[in-house]
Amino acid sequence: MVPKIDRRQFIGLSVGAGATVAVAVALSSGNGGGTSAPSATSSTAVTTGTSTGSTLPSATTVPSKTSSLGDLQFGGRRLVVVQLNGGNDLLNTLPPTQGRYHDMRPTLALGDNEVLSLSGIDDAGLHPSLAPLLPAWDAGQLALIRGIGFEVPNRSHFVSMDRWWRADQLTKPGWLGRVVDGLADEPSPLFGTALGASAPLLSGATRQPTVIGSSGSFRWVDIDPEWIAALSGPDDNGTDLADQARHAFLRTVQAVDDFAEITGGEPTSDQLAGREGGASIAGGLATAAQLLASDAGAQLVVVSASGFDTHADQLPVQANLLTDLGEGVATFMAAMESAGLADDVLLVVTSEFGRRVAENGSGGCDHGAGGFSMAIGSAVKGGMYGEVDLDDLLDGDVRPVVAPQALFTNCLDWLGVDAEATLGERDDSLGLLRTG
Amino acid sequence: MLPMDERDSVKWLHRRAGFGLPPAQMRAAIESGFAGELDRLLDPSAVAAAGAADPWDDESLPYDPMDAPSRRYAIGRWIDAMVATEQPLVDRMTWLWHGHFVSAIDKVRVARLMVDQIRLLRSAGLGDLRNLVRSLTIDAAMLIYLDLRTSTDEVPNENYSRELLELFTLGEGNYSEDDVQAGAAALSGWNFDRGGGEVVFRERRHDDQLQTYLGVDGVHDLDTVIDAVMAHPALPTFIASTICEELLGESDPELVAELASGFAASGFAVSDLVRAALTAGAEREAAPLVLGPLPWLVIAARTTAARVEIPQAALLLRVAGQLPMLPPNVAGWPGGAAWFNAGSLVARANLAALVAADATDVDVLAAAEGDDPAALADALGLPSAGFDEQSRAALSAAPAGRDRLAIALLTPEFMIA
Repeated sequence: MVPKIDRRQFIGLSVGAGATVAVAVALSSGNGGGTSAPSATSSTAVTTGTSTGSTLPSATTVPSKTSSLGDLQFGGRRLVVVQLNGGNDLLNTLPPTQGRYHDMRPTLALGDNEVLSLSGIDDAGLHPSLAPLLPAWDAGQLALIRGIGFEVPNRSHFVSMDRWWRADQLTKPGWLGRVVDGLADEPSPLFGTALGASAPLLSGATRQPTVIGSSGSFRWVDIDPEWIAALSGPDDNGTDLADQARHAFLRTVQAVDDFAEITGGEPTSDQLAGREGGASIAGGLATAAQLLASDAGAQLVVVSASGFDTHADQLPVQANLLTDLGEGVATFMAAMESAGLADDVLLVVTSEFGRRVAENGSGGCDHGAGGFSMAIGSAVKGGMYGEVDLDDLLDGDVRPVVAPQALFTNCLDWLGVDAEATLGERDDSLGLLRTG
Repeated sequence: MLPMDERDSVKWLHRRAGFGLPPAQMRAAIESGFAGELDRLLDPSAVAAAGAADPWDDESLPYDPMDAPSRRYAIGRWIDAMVATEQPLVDRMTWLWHGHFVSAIDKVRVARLMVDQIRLLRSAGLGDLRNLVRSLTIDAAMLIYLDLRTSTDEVPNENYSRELLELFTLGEGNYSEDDVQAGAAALSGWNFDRGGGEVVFRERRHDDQLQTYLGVDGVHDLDTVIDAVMAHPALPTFIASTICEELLGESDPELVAELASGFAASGFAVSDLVRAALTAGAEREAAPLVLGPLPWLVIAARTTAARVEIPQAALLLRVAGQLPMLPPNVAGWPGGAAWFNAGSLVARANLAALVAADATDVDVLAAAEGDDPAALADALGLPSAGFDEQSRAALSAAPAGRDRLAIALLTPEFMIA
């Protein structure tokens, strides 16, 4: 018989709420290989407008749970990646002030009176739906990136996503999956969690993330997990598919147990995905906040949302999607702040490509090249990165001027992981983390 | 390991190319043998009859993008039809093509148009590939899903033109960006009537200039595009490889090359390709194939004669990541070990409990009550190797009866065909 899996059997130490920060400091020598993790120097509170004003961890928002120092990787640092699947349009996300923007987008260009201005920046503004991010911009904790993409772009979603997920090395696993593969011990099941959709970015050669499409459904109904546990297999992941299935059951039983404890146990079907065909960003980030603040060892979370492939009706569609993004991120950062994790979280937003500069005849834009990314967190050196020059296009697209590998290098540096070993080579051209 | 014996090859055939069979029907199938069953599954008159037998009632499918009940109805009826099918190969191939020539109801919205696309796959999916690709190109749901209806001479939309080559027929690396643009121009002008779904060609909005497309000069319209695609040397290999991966669980280059040349020689008759692939597959050592949640559920329900409750089953399939008509993107569903993620497995376990609770087949229920794992494996249509030691231990740990049956449906032996 296989014994019932109970995470608490493995956990000896009990530390109080808010202790995670101290844990992070204690372990900050971590597993860095040649790259020292930049220390988070910010002492500025994130003024997202939704914060209660207190910077003390609140006992009501931090689950009072057990924890183990040994559970945490990366000196306690967490990374959240929000994927905007479909190819978010850069130009309307950060509308340029260049006149050509209006010429090439006669019906889609946002009016100057609609665009939010970004203090210190005179050649672009911010989509009005992203207003919730302005406080982070003003606090110097928001990096906005224009023209990110591969030097030789591919306009296929699938090729481009694959290149992003695998850091342009298509025969290798996801770039975060490689990090998970490289950990000495198999981490806890929720260590790498994909919310909303599967995340090949987190898939390693031997280790798979936990994928939770919607939180309300991640529980057993009319089936006893003890019987499932009896099916489950050895603690190593072979290449045999049956062994992989057995091992997956083992981790699934544990993941459901942990997840129920973290999210409060009795979710209802009301919490199922809000959008037909996909989960919302705000919903995914709300769950991400619960996971990261828990003691289940969740440290890498990918939140996926679809709908950004705006070949038609882009104006209202993108406005709704960016509202979801802006409010979701601001609420998430506020939750991290009140959980005492503001200095332990980096959130980045990615999308497989930007869209064509010229609009098409359907009120949308076709697939393009240079796109939008952003990074937010107290370790981020806020500001505008990259550039858009509408007088110097690449086949009608924004020229890719920032390599995704540069963003990945920063993410890996943040985690204290050897970026060169993970990516093949470092790309220090972006440098959006505060150093020293 | 040796190639399969005759019994196991029949079971393999029905789990791969059909949706499994309850024990009594499986015994009869084994009597008729592999060749007899393959002939029966591919019998043209039965295939035609299956295409004509329609699961949907158009009364319940208004041309209304706001009508959510019709979407639930369209999906639920399709699941029901797969479970009840009398001609399983037709429905299995329809499912296969649905994951290949993808459209999704979240973008198409009008359930009737998705249903009409599935009807097309059911009636034409085993026929001539040229006809299938041509019909799908101007299928109303496809015109919406990949935006071809918005493509005009003034502003061509490249979405369909790209996926036609990348995902549907040739594969990445076999075409250029110029081909994508030329295809978008030559395919411009197609749309459909919103009220009744009829496809219309608007000459005014069509770019009729002669293009060079896939190395062919003079391409300017739907038929010249399809001709150039069908004549491309990468097409037979790409389609044969797709069929091999989906039915055999492997794409051995030698086998694919052999099947591809036979497929081209047949004039692209899909039924010939499927017959050749299955015949070759039965003569080889079986490669494992992870059943996605949908084919797994349908096989489980058919094998146990369970009448699954659609609202719950559809909800759980969605959570498991494989609700029909709702593929994640135009590439369809990823397969293999990706299905062993925790979220999908939880939903699959909950589905197993649902199926076990509704099972009615007396042989299956008797085997689940008993303590002979070999008998249970046989009742569930598994090959003679049956359950391995750990699966047997798990089965004996679960209470006899429906609980044990649910666990049996979750064993690696049942989930991996």
